[in-house]
Amino acid sequence: MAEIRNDRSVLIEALKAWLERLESGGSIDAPPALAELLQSADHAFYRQVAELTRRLHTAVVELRLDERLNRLAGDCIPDARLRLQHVVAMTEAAAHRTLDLVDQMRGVAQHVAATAARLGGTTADPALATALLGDAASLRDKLSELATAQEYQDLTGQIIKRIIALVEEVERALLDLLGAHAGTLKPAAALPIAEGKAELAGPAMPGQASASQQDADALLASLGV
Amino acid sequence: MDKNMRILVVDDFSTMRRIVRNLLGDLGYVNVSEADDGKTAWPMLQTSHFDFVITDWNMPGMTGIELLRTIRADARTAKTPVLMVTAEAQREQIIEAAQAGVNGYIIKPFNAVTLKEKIDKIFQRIGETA
Repeated sequence: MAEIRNDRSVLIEALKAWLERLESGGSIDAPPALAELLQSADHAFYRQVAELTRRLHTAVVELRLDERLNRLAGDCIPDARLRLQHVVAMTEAAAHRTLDLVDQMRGVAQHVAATAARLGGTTADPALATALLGDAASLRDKLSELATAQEYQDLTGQIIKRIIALVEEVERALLDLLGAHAGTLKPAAALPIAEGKAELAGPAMPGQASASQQDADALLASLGV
Repeated sequence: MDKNMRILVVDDFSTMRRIVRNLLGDLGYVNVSEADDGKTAWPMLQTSHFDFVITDWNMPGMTGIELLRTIRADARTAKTPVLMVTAEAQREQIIEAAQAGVNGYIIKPFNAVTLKEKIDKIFQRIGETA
């Protein structure tokens, strides 16, 4: 019984060494120690494990994991990054276009108000001039709200920029991984994805605890601001 | 309140700078300059006098909180009122800003009413203590 357990640990060690060698791109043949073990121990189970290990390696190679990761890191991720940057640029351009139009419309509203004011003194219907002035004022208010609503571009832009940063992080980690796989194996400590430093939370997301303006006012008041 | 006071608006998003400038214009403040982060704003604050600073928090280069601390640390600008307009809505951030000496804190998205309210409050307080 003790002998079998001992055999097992020897086999596990030998298999681990083989797997490590396979992963680092070494020879696919069983190391001599293992081959010897397999011969000496005429055990179907051992042979099955060896066969499974070999098939697993072949499967990984057939999956072309390297190639796929290479394509992801070298092609897909930079493309995703560019697309996200493009979204930020497009919303920025659209928001500015809206603000340009709001500026123009403000001029029109001002002109309407000035004309109505002038009419007020001359027309037989002063109520009409007053109504026009009211319309112009309401137009001006709504245009102001329309301009302010463009702040969505800042908020969505901030969120997308965070995702771009994350995508870049994944890209770097993948390239590190591929570099490690192609060349000498890097120690594990050199590979981890950089820990997010004590970062700001950014724009509030649904379901995330965050302060409203009222909360902020109360908090600031309690701090004497 | 002096409608001619010089105001510096600091935000890395050009859209937001424009929106704040528009809102200030509606309130009658027309003497407005812009900077796209703390690094650009600080030399402007050193070379000429501003009566009021409105700043975002999260910006590349120099953040709004760093700008606020820099403003408070320099005798020439230490008393300049600073209003933070930011998407950061965590309690810790609000407390951090208060401790750094912020005069007001607005969470984005915001509106014209909130902006007017906070500006009025800041200058009312300054008037009381002056």
